[in-house]
Amino acid sequence: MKKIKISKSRYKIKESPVFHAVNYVLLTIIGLLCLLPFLNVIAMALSTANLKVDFWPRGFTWFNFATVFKDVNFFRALGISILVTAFGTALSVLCMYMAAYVLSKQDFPLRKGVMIFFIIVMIFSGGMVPNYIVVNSLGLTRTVWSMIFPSVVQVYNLILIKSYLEGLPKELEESAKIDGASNLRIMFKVILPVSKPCIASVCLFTAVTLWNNYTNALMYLGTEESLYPLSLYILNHIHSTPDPINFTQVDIQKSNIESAMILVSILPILIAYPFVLKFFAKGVTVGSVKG
Amino acid sequence: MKKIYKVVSAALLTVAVAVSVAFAGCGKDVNGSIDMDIDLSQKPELSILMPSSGFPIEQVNSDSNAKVIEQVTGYKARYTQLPSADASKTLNNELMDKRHYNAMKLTKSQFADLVKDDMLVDITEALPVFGPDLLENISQESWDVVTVDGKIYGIPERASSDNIENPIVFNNDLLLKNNLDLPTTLAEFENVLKVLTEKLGRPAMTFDKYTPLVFAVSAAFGIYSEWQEYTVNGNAQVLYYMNAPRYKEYVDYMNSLYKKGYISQVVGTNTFTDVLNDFTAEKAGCMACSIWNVTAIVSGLQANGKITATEAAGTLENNLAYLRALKENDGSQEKVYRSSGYTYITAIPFYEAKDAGYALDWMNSKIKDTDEEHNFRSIVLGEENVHWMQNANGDYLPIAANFAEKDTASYYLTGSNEKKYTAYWTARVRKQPELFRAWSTLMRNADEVGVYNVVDFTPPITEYNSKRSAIEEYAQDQFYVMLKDGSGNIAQYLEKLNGQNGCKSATDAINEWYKTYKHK
Amino acid sequence: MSANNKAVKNNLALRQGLRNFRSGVRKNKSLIPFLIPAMVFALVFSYLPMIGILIAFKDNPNFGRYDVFEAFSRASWTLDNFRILFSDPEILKYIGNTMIISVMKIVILFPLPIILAVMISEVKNKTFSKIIQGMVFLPHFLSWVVITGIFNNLLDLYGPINNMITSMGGDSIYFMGEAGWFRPLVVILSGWKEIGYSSIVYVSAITAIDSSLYEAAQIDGASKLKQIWKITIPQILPTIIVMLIIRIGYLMDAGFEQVYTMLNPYTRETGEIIGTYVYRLGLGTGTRDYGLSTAVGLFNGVISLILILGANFISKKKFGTGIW
Repeated sequence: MKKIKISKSRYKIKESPVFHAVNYVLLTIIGLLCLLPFLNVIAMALSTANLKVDFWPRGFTWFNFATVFKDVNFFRALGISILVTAFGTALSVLCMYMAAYVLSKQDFPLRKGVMIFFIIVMIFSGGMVPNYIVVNSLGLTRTVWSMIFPSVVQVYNLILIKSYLEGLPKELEESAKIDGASNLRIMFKVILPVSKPCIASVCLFTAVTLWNNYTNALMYLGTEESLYPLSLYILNHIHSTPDPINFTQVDIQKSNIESAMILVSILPILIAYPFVLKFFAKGVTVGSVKG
Repeated sequence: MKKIYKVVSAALLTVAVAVSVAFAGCGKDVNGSIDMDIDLSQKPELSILMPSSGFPIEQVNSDSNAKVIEQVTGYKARYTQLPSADASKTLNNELMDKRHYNAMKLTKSQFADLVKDDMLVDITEALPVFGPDLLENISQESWDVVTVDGKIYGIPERASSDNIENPIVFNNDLLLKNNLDLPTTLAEFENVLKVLTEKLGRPAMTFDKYTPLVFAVSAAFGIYSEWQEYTVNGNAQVLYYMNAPRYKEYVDYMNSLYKKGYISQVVGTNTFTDVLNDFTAEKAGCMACSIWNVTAIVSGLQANGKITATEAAGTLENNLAYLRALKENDGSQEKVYRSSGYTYITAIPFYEAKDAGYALDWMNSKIKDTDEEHNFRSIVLGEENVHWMQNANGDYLPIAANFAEKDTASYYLTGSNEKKYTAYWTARVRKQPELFRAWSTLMRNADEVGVYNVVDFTPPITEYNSKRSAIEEYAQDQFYVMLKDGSGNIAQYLEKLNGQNGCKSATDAINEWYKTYKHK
Repeated sequence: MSANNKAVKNNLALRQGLRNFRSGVRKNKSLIPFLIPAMVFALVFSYLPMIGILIAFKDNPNFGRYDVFEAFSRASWTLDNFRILFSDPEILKYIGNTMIISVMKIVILFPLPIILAVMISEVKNKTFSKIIQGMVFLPHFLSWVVITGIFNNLLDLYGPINNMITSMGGDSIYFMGEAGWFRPLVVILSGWKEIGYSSIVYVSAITAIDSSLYEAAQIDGASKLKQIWKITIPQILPTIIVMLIIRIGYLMDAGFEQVYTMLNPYTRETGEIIGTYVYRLGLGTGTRDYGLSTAVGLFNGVISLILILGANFISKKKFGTGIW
């Protein structure tokens, strides 16, 4: 804690105002540029159909949001997504963290071999049918597990955690070992607390991946609609073609309603994001542990 | 530590065994043949696989039309639907699992794939037993579409009238203001575009990036549909439109309009939404599109404030005009593409062969439409004086208050009573006055001017099906390239179309079939 | 065992190595259980299905009609899938396009998230920092169809950007329909969508830097830029290298979804990549045609593996660090 205070005070020592001014202006421009596509989606979600919309709603209406909020199945899909994302993230990050911890040990035998084992997972895939056959024979198709288990191994995250752990000072662990701490204890009581920024970002990546993933659902859920996650629900909506002879108001507003769906579907992640950022800001530095 | 290894290796072994058992398993008796002696009075619950409806499956199962079908057939049917995204992949997985479906409503290309892989029940011999009304009310022409090597694999559905449906829609308001008539010849068309382009200050004509053949224009060059018969050097044969004798003239004409700035310079990247936006906001004077976009056009005009809600509910003679085909000059005969209305084919997976009789019996009773039993009419149109009434001409008119219930009826069809369906179907078009006006305008003496796409009537032809998307994509691309750059390289493009993209072998296969077809 | 002993006798170095291995196992055996969950998931859900790669050498097994093993053994062995892929005179051109677009993306886009992360981490105001991070993170959640649609509007012949060009006396440019503009646009759009999201890795890496390093530098009077160059970058270099190696591994993937939504008849020359070409021909995506797509996947995988191994080797030589 002491160190953090000092690090705050360092900004006060000597500052270059020009650097900061340029930095703020540039960041603001970049931020606004990134907001543009989003503004378009918001404008679409608040507009009447068949009008050219750029960044401001035309023919303002709440109809699209109202339709989404009245859609029971949308919220069921949202619930499934939250479930899959929460459980999947916990399971995946736990597995990846434990494996990364082991692989970060320089003297662990077959370290290189195991890494290549995982790299191959990242690069090669058996293809659609074999994947389906395996998941099906385990009785997992048409269950929520089919959206979680095949996504547990996230090699990219494994590598990230591993390289982070390798950067930690060896003394941390050695002093704990002298105190007679078990591996489990070291992993979760000593190393994990100092890895918060890394674990937080990996959790975020995993959650985003699971949240957006529709391929697993598409492949393994088959016709089991009650389990469709939000991503697949929206995709299905986008791909559906209403019968033009039976056009209803909902059909006419189709793409505007989809914009509203996209916005609502991003909300949970947006709400969670500041909490992740907190871990970045508070990121306990290794120095403070040493002190 | 050894214990852990044991546990892990035991776990892995279990998984491996489970997987290999499952690989070899699925121990269902799958090679059974159709049981001809089933007791039809039993009427078991049927499981039906449907295409995506756009509604949740609970709604599909509780829909009033599903209830009507249950009433008239006596069978309880439980519907399952494919997702709309990647439907065919899900279909394949369902079949690989041998999931229980008494019947599946398939698209033409899904049907072709499954026939090729021998996944469907041959119902030729069972049809006379279980499907006398199917045989009676579906034309031979339609049965041919599902017959491969003399065996029938499905029930074809001709789900609308044979429509003329690809007009150029004009902003009639602009035509009237500038004292222009709807053009009928190529020269008049160019003149109209010239005047409108000057007035608008922007290209007058627009269409989207999926419209390489503007049927209304290509008709003037003798190209009416994608595949049709041409006589080249005295030889009559079926050709793809890009190989048509006068295709180059069509491209050159379009290219000259494009170069003069009468056609939107961005058609090659236009989405339909762009086109619709431009047209309804009066940034373009005419658009080539499908007649089924009329509803969207009307709502677009309303959104843009060009018409009021009251006007939108009526006909729009002052706002919209429909051109179905141009003629080369005043003396030429008018001809234009006419669709065939084939949509879905209902078939039975091979492992359900034993109970095929029930499924056929169910479909048979759905299509029945006699003076005593109006099953088909009840499903499609509903009750007289509740959902519909007849006018003096015998046309079926929808009763607005209740007809919405029948909106989803066509989704539940598995084969259509071809003797009655066109008359029933027209009631749907009447729901929207402007759509009905457009449709009637285009359908004027349709039997004399309509030209079909020959390929609509083929059974699955592997050489064509496997090459179809390559051929269509290539022809589409090259049209937009030539629209911009002219037809200078057309010989080279044709060579590539026929060689690498497989149009030659597809054409040969289609002509092989066509010889027997013409014979009939 | 005896065979092993013989070999060990013959080779002192190997014996040493084996001894190290054994002592390594002994020392670390309590760690092995922690590796097991990840490896079991990998074995079951990745390695077991990989047997299916053999389909690339088969003539379309008829799964569905027959049980898996039977379907597999009924299909004859063939190299046709690879022959179809490589006999096409145009495929080389499209492999070239894939690599060019990919290399452009790496060269131009790889450094940007690092720069952005450094900029963000220099922001003092917490609220501003959070808002900016939230904003740059957003585009990642929009699909390519949405992003391309918006750019189509912006770059339209009558769109805002062309209006600007014409008002300054220039000629309108048909951005989306010019072969020459395709690759730059792919890079720009890709950057727009992903830079913010990619920067998160570096932001989190920077928070882990020991702040005493900066204090020392400030006492020495080092300028901000110098601090960034001398402390921040070297400190996050291992992360940068790891990210770069992984990125290089994905060289054969130029972004199918993006390119597919952006391509049009005018830009195929410069824009068609392997993925879109195979897709367009309906090869490999014929819904019951599994051989060809597996073959394409295998081809891409082999190249990726070679690239990753190579990149890792070079990185180890040059920087002493890699992904293993």
